[in-house]
Amino acid sequence: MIDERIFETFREIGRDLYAADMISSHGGNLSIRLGDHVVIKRRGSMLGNLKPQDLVETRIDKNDSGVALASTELLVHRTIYQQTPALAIVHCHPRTAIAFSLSRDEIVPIDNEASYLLKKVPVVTEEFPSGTPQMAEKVAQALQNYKIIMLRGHGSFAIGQTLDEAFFWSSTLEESCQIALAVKLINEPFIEYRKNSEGYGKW
Amino acid sequence: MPLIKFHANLRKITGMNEIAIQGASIRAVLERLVKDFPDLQQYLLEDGQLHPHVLLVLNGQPLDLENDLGTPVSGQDALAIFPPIAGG
Amino acid sequence: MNGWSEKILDIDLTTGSIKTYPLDMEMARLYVGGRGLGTRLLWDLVGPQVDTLSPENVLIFTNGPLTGTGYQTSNRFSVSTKSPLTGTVLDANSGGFWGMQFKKAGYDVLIVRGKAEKPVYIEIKPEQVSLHDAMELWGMRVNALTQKLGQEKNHRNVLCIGPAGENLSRIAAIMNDGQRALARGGPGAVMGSKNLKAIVIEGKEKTGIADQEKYKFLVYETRKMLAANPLTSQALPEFGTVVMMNLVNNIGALSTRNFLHNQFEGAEDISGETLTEKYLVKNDACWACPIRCTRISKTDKVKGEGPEFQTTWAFGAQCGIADLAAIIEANCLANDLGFDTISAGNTIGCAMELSEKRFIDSDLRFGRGDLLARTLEDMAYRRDLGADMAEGSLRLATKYGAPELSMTVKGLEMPAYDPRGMQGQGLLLATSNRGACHMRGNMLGLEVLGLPKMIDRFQVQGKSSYVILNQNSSAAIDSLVLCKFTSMAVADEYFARVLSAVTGIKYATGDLIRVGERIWNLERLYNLREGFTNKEDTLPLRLLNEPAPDGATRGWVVHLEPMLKEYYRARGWNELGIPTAQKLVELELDGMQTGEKENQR
Repeated sequence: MIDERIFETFREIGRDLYAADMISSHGGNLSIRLGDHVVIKRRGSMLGNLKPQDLVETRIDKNDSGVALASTELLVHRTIYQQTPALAIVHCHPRTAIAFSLSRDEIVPIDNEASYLLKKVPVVTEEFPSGTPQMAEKVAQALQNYKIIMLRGHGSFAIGQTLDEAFFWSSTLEESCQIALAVKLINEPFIEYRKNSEGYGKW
Repeated sequence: MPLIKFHANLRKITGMNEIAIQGASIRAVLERLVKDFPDLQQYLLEDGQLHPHVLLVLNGQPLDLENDLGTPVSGQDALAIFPPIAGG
Repeated sequence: MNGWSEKILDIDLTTGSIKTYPLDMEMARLYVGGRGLGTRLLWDLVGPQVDTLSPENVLIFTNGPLTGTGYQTSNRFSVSTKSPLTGTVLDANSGGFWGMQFKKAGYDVLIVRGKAEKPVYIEIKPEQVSLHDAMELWGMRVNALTQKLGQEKNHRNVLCIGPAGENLSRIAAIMNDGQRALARGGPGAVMGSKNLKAIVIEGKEKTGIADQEKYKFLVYETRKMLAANPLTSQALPEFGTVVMMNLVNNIGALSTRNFLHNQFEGAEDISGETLTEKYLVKNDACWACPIRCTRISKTDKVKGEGPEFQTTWAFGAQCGIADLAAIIEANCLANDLGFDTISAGNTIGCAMELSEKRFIDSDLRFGRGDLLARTLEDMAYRRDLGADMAEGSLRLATKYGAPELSMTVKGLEMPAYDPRGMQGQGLLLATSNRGACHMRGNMLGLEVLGLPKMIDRFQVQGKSSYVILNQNSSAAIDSLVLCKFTSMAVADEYFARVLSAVTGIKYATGDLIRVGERIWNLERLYNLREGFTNKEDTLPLRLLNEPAPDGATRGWVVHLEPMLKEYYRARGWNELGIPTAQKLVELELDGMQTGEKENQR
């Protein structure tokens, strides 16, 4: 039995992600760690419009949800919980961030907010990006030292103590990438306004 | 009218420990407060929204700021306002 | 040598031998410093056969690789020992200036073993470490002794015990720099049992930093975060910790009169607002700290550091006392005598209930602020009832036939926070390895302040995840050694990077938290080896069975059982709360034999 307050949080964050254009109708995923269990969205359900029956619960060390439906990405989530201090994971498809991930190995924000909060976002790559043990390992490994990372061409994985926190990192990254895109369009010489900014790229 | 209790530096700013204020909901009460005590504005609000570190406690229950601003209040209620505080 | 000094100073008071030898750097990598290193060394040095007040018990003072760098709040240090109050693993943690000097003296660890034939003090100087006769100093109170031994904040620092430690009170603290304390669990009694009066220290070494550029960047970012966060830049410097009084009381989580009630009608009188208005002189800070949460308070009779929230609660609401001046004076006296103020105040409150219910024959009653001073003196000098009270509230209440009136977990007195009003806090207090301790993962942020987010304080499901993360994280911070107030503004990923930049060894954020998890599990193994079981992961019966009477918390008890079940599983322990073999391998603890017994719950 999943506490109603927990469902409410899933529903709200899911709705906000969809409204912010950070997921497609059925894409992305949210999960939390509940003791030694994971609560995650059911495969085929819509984050923008979650119902209580759309959440499933399974053990962290193996999938025993009895439901062959817990999202294809369950393995990644379980691996992240086993290997990092994460208590919540937001996986979404922030469009501009994905675009940037296609041409670089790390995204280093230039706007104030994201420099301060994120510093640097690594991009990891995997030939078969969805649901494989290799991908799960790579993502979990990267999240050992960063709270949000990009999987090239696929989307972001953000961790935190709460879904709010992980959402915050995701939203900040996308905002930052949209600003960076606009800077490219404006195409004028960048005026450095931050002190010690060379430190961000080495985060 | 609900009773509003001030804490920490909010007492110095308003010049009092508590006051009864007109308002049918939490949001209405806060709007009224900021109107009556303009100096409270910077402590209660940030960019027009409730400051994330302000803590509102209604009849002993801490409020979740995102969701509870519409909560109705009446003369039986006591709302305590805490600026950012911490301890161990 | 970056971060660590890579040296241990080992003094045997029985033989008078003074040795130095290298720190095992593989051990340092896994346990870092402070609480971690202290616990790991304690595991080797003090087993179940050791009586806590015998010469075989050991005091292990530790600092960490960040101590003395000048990084914000890099002043703290630890002492590890087996607790004479609880019999559990103990580390206590203090701020001030002594820790910084300890690092400058060129050691990571100071081990003190054995027992001197007659009172001595240790003097550590760059050119020499020596033992001195302390016969003339024995009996001196902390303030006078600290002055006498030449305390000079930045150059020469004094750590000592007062009469409470000398007389082996199980709730005695070790004091440093006059009014800072290694308090909980009674380490002062261990020091007293060794006839060790003081440790005076002077140093001149500088802590090495591997990557200066990275380190400077991190200091700069930390400064920004501390300044931007209202808790560390406004709340703590302006009001200190006592400002929590009105808030905790308002929600019905301020234990009152030995936890008979959960709201105190006198809370306003002993609040941070009243302190600031009537008794505050100024704020103050430990070494390298911009937060400045220390209070300097003054009444007609005394002037001194403090009081903190916990102390004000312990001598205040816990005893039904609303006289803030009396509380300030009690705090100063308790520091001067060398007591853990939380345990002292809590024990006095317990004695008050025992007295009111006629289990003991005494004039102590709730509200008798006028008796605080006399009672503390009686406790320090073991006079009359003070002799029993000096043993802590559990031994006191047990002796007089009412152990259930002792508000302790594993024998350590509970701090402020009635867990009937904060379910997660209840789980925390029941599972802390040194007993009822709030400094090992405080749920205040999540359940009351809404930081980082408000989690319903009455919600039971899912609380274990937060408690565990908090416990692991705070164990890591206790090994660096930094002040936990920094973590109100600065995330763990910064601490991991500072540790990496200083030591030159790469610690990912996850690695640092794993250090904390490793420490936590080792502490658990230590307690299991001592004979503790899951039976002791509990709370006073009053909190499990008697519904809270007051305010918004009315009607609640702590629903510990379901939280505990979830907690054990989430930690990778079996249903008896014993770490599984798999978990031990994961944490590189698989070499440790615990010899735990079978257990029925």
